[in-house]
Amino acid sequence: MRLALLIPLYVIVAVLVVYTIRHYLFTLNRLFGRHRQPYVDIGTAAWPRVAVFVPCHNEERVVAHMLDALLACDYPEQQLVIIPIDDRSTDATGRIVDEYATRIPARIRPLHRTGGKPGKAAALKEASSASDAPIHLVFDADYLPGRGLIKQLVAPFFDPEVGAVMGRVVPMNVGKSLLTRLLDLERTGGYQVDQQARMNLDLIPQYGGTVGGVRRAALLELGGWRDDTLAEDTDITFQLVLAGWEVVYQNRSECYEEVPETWPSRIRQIKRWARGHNQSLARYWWPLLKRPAHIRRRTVVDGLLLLGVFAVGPLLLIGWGLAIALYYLGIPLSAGIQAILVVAMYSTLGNFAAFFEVAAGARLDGSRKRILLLPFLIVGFLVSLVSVSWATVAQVSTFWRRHDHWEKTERHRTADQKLPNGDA
Amino acid sequence: MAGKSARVALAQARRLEGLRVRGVRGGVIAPHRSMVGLPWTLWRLVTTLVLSAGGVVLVVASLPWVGRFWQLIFERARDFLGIDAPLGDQQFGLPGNVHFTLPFIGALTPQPDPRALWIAGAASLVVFAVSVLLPVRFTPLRYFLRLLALLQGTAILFFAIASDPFPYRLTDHVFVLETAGLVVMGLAPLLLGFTLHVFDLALWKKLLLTLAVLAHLAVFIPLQVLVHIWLVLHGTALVMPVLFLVFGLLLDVMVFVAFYGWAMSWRGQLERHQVRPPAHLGRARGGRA
Repeated sequence: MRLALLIPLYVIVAVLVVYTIRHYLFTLNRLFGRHRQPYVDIGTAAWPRVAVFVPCHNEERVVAHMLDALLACDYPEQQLVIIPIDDRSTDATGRIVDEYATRIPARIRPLHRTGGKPGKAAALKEASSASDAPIHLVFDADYLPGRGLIKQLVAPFFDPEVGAVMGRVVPMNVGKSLLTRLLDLERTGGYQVDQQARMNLDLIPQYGGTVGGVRRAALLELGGWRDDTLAEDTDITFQLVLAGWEVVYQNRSECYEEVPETWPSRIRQIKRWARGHNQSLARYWWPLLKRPAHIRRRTVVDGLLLLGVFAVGPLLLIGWGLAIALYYLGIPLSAGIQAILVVAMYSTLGNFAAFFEVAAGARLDGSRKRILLLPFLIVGFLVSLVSVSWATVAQVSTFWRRHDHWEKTERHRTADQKLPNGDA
Repeated sequence: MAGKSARVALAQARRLEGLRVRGVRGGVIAPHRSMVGLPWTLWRLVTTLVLSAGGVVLVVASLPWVGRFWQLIFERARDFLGIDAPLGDQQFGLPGNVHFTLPFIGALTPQPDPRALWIAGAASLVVFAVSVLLPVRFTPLRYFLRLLALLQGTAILFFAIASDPFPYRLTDHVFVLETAGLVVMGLAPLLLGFTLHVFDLALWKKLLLTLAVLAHLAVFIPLQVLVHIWLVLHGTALVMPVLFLVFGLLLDVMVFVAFYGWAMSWRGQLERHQVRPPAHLGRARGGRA
């Protein structure tokens, strides 16, 4: 009995230690390593045609801001087409995008979906055939790209080996609540440190699906977007890597997003991420482990750890369950094991940035005062732990069903709200 | 001669590098935040190693005084809290001829009777009900209260149905908390070495933070243990699982993270030594003159 509880607990603790070491190595690399941002200086070029897809489902509060920001970008007008995908919206989204299309028909070509499979992946799958532009960029409707962002995101595609590009996500509604401040910290650790370190180390930066793009040729080679997933971004990342394409992260390419301002919204978001990510884990762990010839061992290790990030939540929960059982059996854990379980609470969930990773990212950002909130990261931990574990258990119990329900993230901005940069 | 020309070339390269980042008003053009990093220096490596190792040595060497200090706190607090039990100490030895004692209170562990179980059950239900009634903006608190109710529920279940006696006495609980606290104190300088000392903070700040964390824990841990003792004596062994699992080591780690976060919000040397515009040009916009 004692061993039956202790062995799985030690295995779980070992997994947590591996993840913590991974975060630490990423932090050291980001602080002291050589930065790999090979495409950021490209400012003048024969810019290719680009289609920017903006999936929208009931986005009347934010879609006009997004379209205004895209229209203000300095990308050559004749080379840029914006395709808002009105995905069965029941609010004024369709009317708003149609108004823009009427005003600027050459640049905005909306696509209205009235049926078919719901969800972002299905919308992208259907819409991607609407443009033969060699580069397909994708933004979420609540995002606000800066003026030079499209050029920055397109520049890496001059490298013929690049299949996807991801930019940095920066929350803009940070001061709304403790939740938004904590999410801002998590994003800082996740992008400023984690993603850039993976880029530096030539591992697998993740295409995040909200501010980035894919090469159409690569997409066609892979058979287009998969619509049977809740995380089309993670899915395409691993498909591309397995097919030999490079995924690039551009830390300089910042785009501003609206993070969830309420806990229910956050819970829905992280549950969706967990389910989608776990789908990718189930699909790609074995193909990755088989290691095609072009993939290095360290990339495989990084890929497996990346795929497993949302499985860590349930593992940690099981670990705590075992610790409690052992406690009642009179087998107290050593202080070291307890400390690892506790430190893991500051290291594993949310955007999976450890407390030191978050602090390092915020210092690099030059906004030191935010770090004072570090101990409060634990506030969101329990919510994330329960949400992710619940989503995983529900998913396992339904045997990875193919047609999962898409839950949209709630928007909090108002259509006439003045934005931080004064664009609206 | 070759060495001299290399030195000249290096000096010239440094001057050029300085000019490259010099703004029109004489200030420094800072790199974008996406591209900044930290230079690693031999001095920082040495100070990191010295501070980490020195911190551990300090903790080990001060254990006898820490033990006596905790004994003193226990003596004073026993009367203040009205704990009617003898005070004892337990001797420990570490390699290097380090001997120290840790205090304990020789009180019997009160076991819950059926009435206590019912009261605890009702209290857990109330806590759970409160968690349901709280507005959604308190979601983390709601989850935390449910966790407490759940853990307390496991304790009630154990005392209600388990045939074996509860495997811990109050003295065991105190011993585990004290030793776990000492482990955290011993690990703190190492953790700071890995996570704080690698940054460009002034040496005195790193030293100050290390001492502050250790001093805080040295005071916090015995007080934490005393609160546990008082609660167990009044709430019986029924509250021990929740105290141990939620309000034990977790609090010590939170203290560490809070101090770490505080120190990481301090200004670094690179920022402090950033070249300012010449004084005659006045205060730079948005910066310090």
